[in-house]
Amino acid sequence: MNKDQSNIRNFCIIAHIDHGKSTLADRFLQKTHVVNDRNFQNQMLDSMDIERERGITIKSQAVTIPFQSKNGKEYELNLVDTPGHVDFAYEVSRAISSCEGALLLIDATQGVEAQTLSNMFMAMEHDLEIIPVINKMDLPSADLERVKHQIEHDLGLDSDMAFPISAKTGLGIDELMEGLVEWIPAPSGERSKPLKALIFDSHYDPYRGVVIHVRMFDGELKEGDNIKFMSNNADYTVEDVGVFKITLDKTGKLQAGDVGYFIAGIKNITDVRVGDTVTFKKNPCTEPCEGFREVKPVVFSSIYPIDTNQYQELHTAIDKLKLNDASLIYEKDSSAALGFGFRCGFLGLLHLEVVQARLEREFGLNIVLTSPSVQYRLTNMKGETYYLDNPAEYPDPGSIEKAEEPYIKAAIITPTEYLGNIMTLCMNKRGIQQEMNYLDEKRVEIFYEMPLAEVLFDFYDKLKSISRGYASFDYELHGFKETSLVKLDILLNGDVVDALSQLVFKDNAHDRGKAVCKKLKGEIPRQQFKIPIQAAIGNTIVARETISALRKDVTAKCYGGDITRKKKLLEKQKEGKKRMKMVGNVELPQEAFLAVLRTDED
Amino acid sequence: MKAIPLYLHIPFCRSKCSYCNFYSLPLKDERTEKIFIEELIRQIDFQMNLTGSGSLKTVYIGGGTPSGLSGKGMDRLLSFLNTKCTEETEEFSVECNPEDISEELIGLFNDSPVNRISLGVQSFNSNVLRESGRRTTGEQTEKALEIIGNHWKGRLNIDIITGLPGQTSQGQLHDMEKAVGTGADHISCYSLIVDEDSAIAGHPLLPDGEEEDIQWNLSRGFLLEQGFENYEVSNFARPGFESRHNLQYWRMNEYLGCGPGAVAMFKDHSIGRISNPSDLTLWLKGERELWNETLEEISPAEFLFENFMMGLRTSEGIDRKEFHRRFSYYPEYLIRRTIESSSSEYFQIDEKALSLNSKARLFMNPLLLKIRDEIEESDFDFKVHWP
Ligand SMILES: Nc1nc2c(ncn2[C@@H]2O[C@H](COP(=O)(O)OP(=O)(O)O)[C@@H](O)[C@H]2O)c(=O)[nH]1
Ligand code: SF4
Ligand SMILES: [Mg+2]
Repeated sequence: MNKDQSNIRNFCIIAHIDHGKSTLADRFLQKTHVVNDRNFQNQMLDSMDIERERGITIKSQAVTIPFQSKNGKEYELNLVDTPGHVDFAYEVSRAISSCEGALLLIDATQGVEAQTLSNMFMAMEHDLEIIPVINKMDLPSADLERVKHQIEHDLGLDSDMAFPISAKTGLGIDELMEGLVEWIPAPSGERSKPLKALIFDSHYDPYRGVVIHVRMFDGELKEGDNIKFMSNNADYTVEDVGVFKITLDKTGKLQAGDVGYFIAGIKNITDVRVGDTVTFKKNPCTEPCEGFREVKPVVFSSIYPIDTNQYQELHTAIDKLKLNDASLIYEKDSSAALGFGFRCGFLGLLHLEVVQARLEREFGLNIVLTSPSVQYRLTNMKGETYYLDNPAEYPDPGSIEKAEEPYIKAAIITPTEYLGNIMTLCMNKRGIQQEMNYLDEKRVEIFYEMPLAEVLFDFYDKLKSISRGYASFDYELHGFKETSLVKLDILLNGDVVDALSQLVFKDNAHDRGKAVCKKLKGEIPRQQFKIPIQAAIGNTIVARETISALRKDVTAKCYGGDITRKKKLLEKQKEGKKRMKMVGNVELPQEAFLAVLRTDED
Repeated sequence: MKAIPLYLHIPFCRSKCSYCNFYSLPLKDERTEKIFIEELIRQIDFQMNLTGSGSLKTVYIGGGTPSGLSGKGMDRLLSFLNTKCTEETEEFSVECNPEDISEELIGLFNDSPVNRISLGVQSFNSNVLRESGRRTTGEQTEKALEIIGNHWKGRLNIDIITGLPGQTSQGQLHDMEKAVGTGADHISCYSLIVDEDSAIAGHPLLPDGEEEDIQWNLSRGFLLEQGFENYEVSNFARPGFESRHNLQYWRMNEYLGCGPGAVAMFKDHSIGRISNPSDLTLWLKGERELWNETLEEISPAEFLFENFMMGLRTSEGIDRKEFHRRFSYYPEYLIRRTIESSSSEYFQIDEKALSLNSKARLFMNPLLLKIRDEIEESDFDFKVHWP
């Protein structure tokens, strides 16, 4: 049976982080009984533990929701959930381009924030119908009038169209769903044309291989079809087709306008690229979907097992993670201090932390990550350019003609009272101010060009703290700019620990060296001998600290009633040891490697 | 019938010190105190019967603050214990806080089997005491010591804590000089343990690990100079004045423990540690079922490990004969890999004992971890003969 295309609606929810995307998705699922109440869990679409824990959606998810409208018609709503973090901005853009409409969710107590704007512009670029939705109306501090004003003024949308709701209590959800089918257009593709479908995500299923998430633009897709990916012409035979109902629901067929999945015997997730177009092998469509690009990692770090015997296990674990995460790239690496490991590229620091957490939790590994680095572009004396992200491979400075580092364009929205502090912060981070718009008399939007290396680590936390949480921030990559680099080495007990080396902006090197030594002093537990910590550029020591020798364990009392406690304490120490890496004769805690980046220079 | 060590826990204090992680409650009215003590007496009887003990080998009344009991309560408790003490009773200690010391209290002790006062001084510096949330001042402490000096006929221990908020190395040394100056025959010197949930966590005046290390080692050096022996990790005594009661713990002998929060270790069906719930209300209800509740059954391998963990704390070390009687092996045999892989001077073995040298005793934790691994990895078929 053919569905009536005019009863399909494809939409996404876009919002600044924490404005309630996941909660609203939960309400939709509950209202329409896609999941029964017994199986219902909060943040239903966030399926990874770590997503739930951190309240951040990392992977795009889709779900098909049946909806009976008051107008008598039965609709099929396809909700495409988008990742909520700038690391995954490209995935967001793909998810958006598989929809005809977007609910732009705004927290009634916070108002418009940086991601609200950037997501709205992205939705506009893709010609989506945008419905403003004002969330958290149940809160006493909700300020409907203010947000309505911002919708008119900052976003240029019609505030009369806005739906006030509470995703938490369910207030206004029915009205919103009616509005959604009324305002968002039905998909316009043609079933009779050759197949044209956009891949907006994929995941690995241990039993069925790679599951591809697609939005159908034209034509039909059935089991047995011979298809190909337009970016690389790889061809496959479709084995299974269906839609998402939290689990995969086989339908045998997808048609223009649908959102669903297919499986085609693909073993390797790297063969599937988000943003690619699927078409028939014979009789392909003429033009691919717009906007395909390769996602490139921007942060690099090496991962080593704490116990060198776990190298093989680490290898297997990374291979497995990669099955579900095409954006993770890696190659073998080795370090004098840490042995064998992997050099990995990540989409951002959150992505790095997610990979680290999954390796530890899902695979039970104890690992260390070396100081994350951005990728620099170097030009040698012969005029050849190449990219470098590993401080260990930094060449003789004399051989470098020119060094460039990646920049971002940052957008910050802040109440005016914090403007001064924020400008100082950005300046300290080598930011170059681009423009500044007063959104109204109380809020400003400023744009900066800033080195990516400066915002990766503690910029966001600092921004939040100096603005008491009111400033919001978003960024996109913005090319390379010439820079002046040095390699900062860290010596423990007189020996360079290659895993602690970092490439830094020359003028910051001394301060960074001092801060790192101080930080390490705080992180490395005292041992039975004295440990000098030094920072060096080439042969010049630029900073030093000393960890004094430990002269006893803790000498607590230990009588009859203390035995159990004492044993627990020993157990804890044993666990702690598993998270220590022996480097020479110094025990380095896992935290020390990342801590060197979280230095407070003020 | 045998004589057995007894620990009593009196969980009442005038106020809560900010580093305290003991079970301690505000002082109670006389009626509650009376019920409390009668229950205590019932449990002592009960545990003595259960273990077939005819008398008490050593007694330690700790807390909380036992010295905060009313005169009447203290009198009742001591009179009862008197009936359980014999010639064989080697030591009878009561923990006291300086603010409770009076001529009457000392008189009461002098007329009882109590022969050792353990005074919770912690520091003589009023500032340090205040920052630590202790009620006592330096002056009160001096006053208490004066009364003790003039009237007390027994032995004296002084408790000192290093690394308290506001303490300095200079001040620490000064405290130690004063402690020795009191004529005490025994000094316990503990590092402050900062429990993450205690009120003291994050105190801005807390010395860091390095500073605490210096304070404790200065104290140790001074005490050794003054003729004290560091006979256990954190305990110092003039020769012959070691705490008999506490030695029982380190020798892993059986002991009774009565009062809410107290722990006993004896063999009922198997070797076990019996903890009374830290719950006064339950205690006052006199629910006997709770007394018998073995909260921790100790497996032979655990018991073996504990023998090392406790025995190696003391300078006398692990008695090899007694160890052989308990486990049918000599101790050095069971941990030979640990001994071989450690600095040669760390472990000392002679006819009588296996012990650690004084330096290794200060760095025991890594050794204990190794011992633990070694015990876990070897699967001896332990038959334990204990007590
Ligand atoms: N009071 C109230 N809280 C809400 C509402 N919607 C979401 N929240 C809360 O706001 C926080 C962020 O919501 P979440 O859905 O995770 O936001 P997301 O980051 O956009 O996915 C959570 O603590 C939610 O419980 C609402 O309508 N009312
Ligand atoms: S006197 Fe002892 S038991 Fe009482 S509160 Fe202070 S530390 Fe705790
Ligand atoms: Mg979310």
